[in-house]
Amino acid sequence: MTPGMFPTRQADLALTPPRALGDGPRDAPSPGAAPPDAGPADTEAETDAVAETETDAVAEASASAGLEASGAAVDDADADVGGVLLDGVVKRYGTQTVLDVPRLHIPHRSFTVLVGPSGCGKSTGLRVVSGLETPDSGTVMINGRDVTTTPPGGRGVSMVFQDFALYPHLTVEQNIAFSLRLEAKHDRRGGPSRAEIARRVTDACEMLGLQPLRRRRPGQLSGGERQRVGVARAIVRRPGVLLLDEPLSALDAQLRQHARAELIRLHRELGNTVILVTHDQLEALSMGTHLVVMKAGRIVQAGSPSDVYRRPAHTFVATFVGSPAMNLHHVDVVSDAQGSRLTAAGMWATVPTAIPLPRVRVGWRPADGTLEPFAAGRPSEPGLSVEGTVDVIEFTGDTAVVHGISQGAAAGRSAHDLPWTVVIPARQPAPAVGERVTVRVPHTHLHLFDPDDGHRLAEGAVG
Amino acid sequence: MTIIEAPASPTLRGRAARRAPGTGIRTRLAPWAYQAPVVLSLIVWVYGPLVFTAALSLLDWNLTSPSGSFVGLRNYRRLVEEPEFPAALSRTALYVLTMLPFATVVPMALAIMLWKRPGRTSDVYRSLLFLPVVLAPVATALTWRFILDPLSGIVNTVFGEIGLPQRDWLGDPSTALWTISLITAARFVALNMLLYGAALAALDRRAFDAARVDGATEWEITRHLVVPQLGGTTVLLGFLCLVFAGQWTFTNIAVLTQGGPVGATDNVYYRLYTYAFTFFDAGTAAAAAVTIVVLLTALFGASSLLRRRRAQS
Amino acid sequence: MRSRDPGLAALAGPAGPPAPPAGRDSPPDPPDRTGLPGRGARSGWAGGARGAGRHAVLALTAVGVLFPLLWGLSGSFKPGTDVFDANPLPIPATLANYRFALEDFPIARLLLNTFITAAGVTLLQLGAGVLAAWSFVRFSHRGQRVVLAMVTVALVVPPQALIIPQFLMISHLHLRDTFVGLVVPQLSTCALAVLLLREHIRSIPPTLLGAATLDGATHGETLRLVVLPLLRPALSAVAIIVFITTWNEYLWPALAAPSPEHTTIQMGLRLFSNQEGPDYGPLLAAAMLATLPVVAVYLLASRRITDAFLQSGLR
Repeated sequence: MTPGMFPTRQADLALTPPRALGDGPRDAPSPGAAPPDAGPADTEAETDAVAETETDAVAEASASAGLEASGAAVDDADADVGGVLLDGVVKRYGTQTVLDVPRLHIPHRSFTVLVGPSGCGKSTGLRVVSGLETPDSGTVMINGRDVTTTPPGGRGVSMVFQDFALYPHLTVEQNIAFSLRLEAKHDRRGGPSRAEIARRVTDACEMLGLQPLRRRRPGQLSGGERQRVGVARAIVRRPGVLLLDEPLSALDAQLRQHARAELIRLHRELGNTVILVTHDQLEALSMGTHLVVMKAGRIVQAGSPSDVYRRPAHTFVATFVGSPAMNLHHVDVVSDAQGSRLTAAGMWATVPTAIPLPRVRVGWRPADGTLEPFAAGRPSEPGLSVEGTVDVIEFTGDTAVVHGISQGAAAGRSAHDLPWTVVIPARQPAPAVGERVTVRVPHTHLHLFDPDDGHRLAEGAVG
Repeated sequence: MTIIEAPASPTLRGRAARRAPGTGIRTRLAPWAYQAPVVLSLIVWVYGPLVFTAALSLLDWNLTSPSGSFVGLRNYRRLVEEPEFPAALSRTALYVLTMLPFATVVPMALAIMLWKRPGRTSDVYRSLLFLPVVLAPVATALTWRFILDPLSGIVNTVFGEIGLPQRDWLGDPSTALWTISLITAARFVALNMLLYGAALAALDRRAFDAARVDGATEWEITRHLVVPQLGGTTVLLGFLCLVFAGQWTFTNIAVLTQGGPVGATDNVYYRLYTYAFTFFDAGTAAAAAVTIVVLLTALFGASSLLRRRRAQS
Repeated sequence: MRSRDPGLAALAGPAGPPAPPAGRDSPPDPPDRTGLPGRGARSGWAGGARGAGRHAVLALTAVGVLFPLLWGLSGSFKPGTDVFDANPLPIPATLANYRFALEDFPIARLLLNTFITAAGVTLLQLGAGVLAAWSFVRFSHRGQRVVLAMVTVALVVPPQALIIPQFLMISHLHLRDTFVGLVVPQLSTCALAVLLLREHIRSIPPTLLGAATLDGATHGETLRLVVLPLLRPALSAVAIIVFITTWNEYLWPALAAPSPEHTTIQMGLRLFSNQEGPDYGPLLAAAMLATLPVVAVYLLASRRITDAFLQSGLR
């Protein structure tokens, strides 16, 4: 079963048509590798294998099309198995398109996180799945059933809202029992009995530690307690799909960490499909088994958290996921059969692959760079070197974040200054402000992106 | 008045959230079912009568005979040619003008005074000052007749003591209109003070703190920062005064002066009432009603045009 | 609805802080005095000449707008010959005027009529208003825009323009001097109730209504189980406003129920004043009886009423 939730069409990324590089599939397919709920399980070997696949596929432009087709075919099979499928879903408000998803498959039993900046359409996507919004076109399938026209109550879906949306005039147990009582009323014969309702409410309360609070009203609860009631209310219906709309944003920072672990544990116990929406990339990376990065209503990249982190498909993903953000530099390229040399102010890099472009954008994560005292001259091994001056140092406990600047070739011209950030472990003594230093990044941790539209180039990007 | 919010605002998403999807007869009929009582009431008791009145204005009828005769625009001509209606129209304008300061400046000042000092004292004042909206107009009017009695009413008694002129306030053509105006003004002051209070509560007060740090005095802050922000409210309340001044004076006129003396306190609404129930001239009364509604609509249209042009610039 | 999570909650961990006393949330924050003139001798009620000046202005205004009520109240307790006495306090006070008014005129009956009429109109307008307001908020049907316009325009249509046809309708249906004739046409003023209730329903967080839908509630169930309980304070405020407005209504009862046994007290007052001539004592007593009940209701609920007016929002 492939985690076939990658965007399979150029249009999905809102990018220009591909360059004549014949690069492989847009994202990082880990074909048949990690099963969805195994979590970030990428190994170095696997990544290298993928890279080799991509490098080999340089000349095979048609391969990507083939992969797309087969991917689509497999996904239809997935639709029968389970999970959530959005097919051709478009949602507009007036003239503005807020959601445009040609295809999104959320694997069965996964903990999928929709992440992106405000207004990227992730909440809309969630609401389309829940049924609170109807798409202007496209279909929604849940566990193989077409629910596009099914009202929200009948989709087997539960939702926890950002503000928890507890009924303020009901007690905690009445809040939790609300949906079950409605179900009993609508379905006199087949619905849950009073005893069963009581039992399920108690189960939910126990699972979330709410037993001592059953008789309270929401106004008497703290934020963390309210969140748990919201979750209890959602799970008491035993939903096949549990939706969470920024459930942690209303909590204090310390509570948030605890709540994150609780949600992961809950997913494990319930074993259903969870879709969580957040704008916090840290939550996305730490909680999800599957990540969907969105921007401006479209899916930019989908994959396991480690895939997205290590092989961002676009500069947007590269800078959005991971903190501090990836360093990105525009560089000039001189290329020959052995490899390419990349230069910019205060910066040199060599990569062992040929890049048929005059300019490129190179990226490296702050944690992948090592800080060394200033050493003149260019290094011999492939990789990147940056010379610069330390500007600001942020001490964060376990690490230090060092912000530096590389001067332009002509002194005093700030237009060519190159700012960068590197993270050093606490045991390494921090440099002094103003000190000249060199940062080195091995070529295996470099990412290459198209300088104009930002999409990932296959060559040389092995990180 | 915006009914549909702009797209991409959280409110619209919320609105869509309230809408439960689903096609089918039940869902499509539901809105009409919920609105039926109000819609029916309005059609039967407001819009139907409006249409009927418009038709009636073309007839000559005295409310008792089985039917009236069609006379075309004769009723309207009579309205214009006979002096009573135009005079009532100009007096209505006078009522509006005299009450405008009581609908704008006075309540604004009171509201600002209360707003600057939140606390129990202000709450008590606010409750008391709002009372005129709640008092029964008829009872109040009768009490005023008692107070303004030319011979022994307390007003004349006190005025006599302190040397102010004593008049037959309601019976003297030169004072009657102003008296009615003042009596009605109390309601405007009370209601508008509350509405200004609402507008003041919505202001962002941090800017005032900034001004204070910059050295502005309280009066300067009030005059240059607070009052300008109440401009929109003032325009709205002025407009409401225009619309309701005539109606609110109606009861006082009916109870106290019946339009007199010699038509000194007449206004268009009372004229309408007189045409209908004193002279039993339903046609002319209807013509007066139509004229009033047309004038009000024209005023509405002009004001929304102005508002739209202001919004554009 | 926003969680006011005190820092303590995080420290106490997932179990949460010790619960606040039942029925109360965290202690109320001190009133927000941002931007208002600071307390001090120069401003504020207590201080100095300026403070006294403001007190004077407000007190005088209060007396001015309430003067008829106060003077009428005092006069109603004065015996016949003293009724014009300049003394503001009724000494000696007497109940003779009230006795006279109640005995010689069916004031009690009029009060009852007025109460029934006002209650009837209130119930009808609230019922119709809640349904319509709910529909405005829940559905975004295109026709709703038309209905909303209808309601808004109805606010400013002068009642005098409508009384002739309304009067004729009632007459032809032989409903003059009946409660039906008094109550039903007064539905024409439901616009205020509809708009006020609409604003209040709009202020309910949409996620709450979405949660109810997800829980499987139909439109009617959401209205009954979620919206109405939350609407209780607004409903009572709007009810009080409608009740008071109907209680004070004069023109329609004068036309629809002119006979003294069936009319409301406002119209009854007119008849009373015509009959009794300028005998002010009993007249004032009757006027006080006509107005004091709602004043009492208002004073008990004044906060709620002013809040309801404020919530309607100036758009």
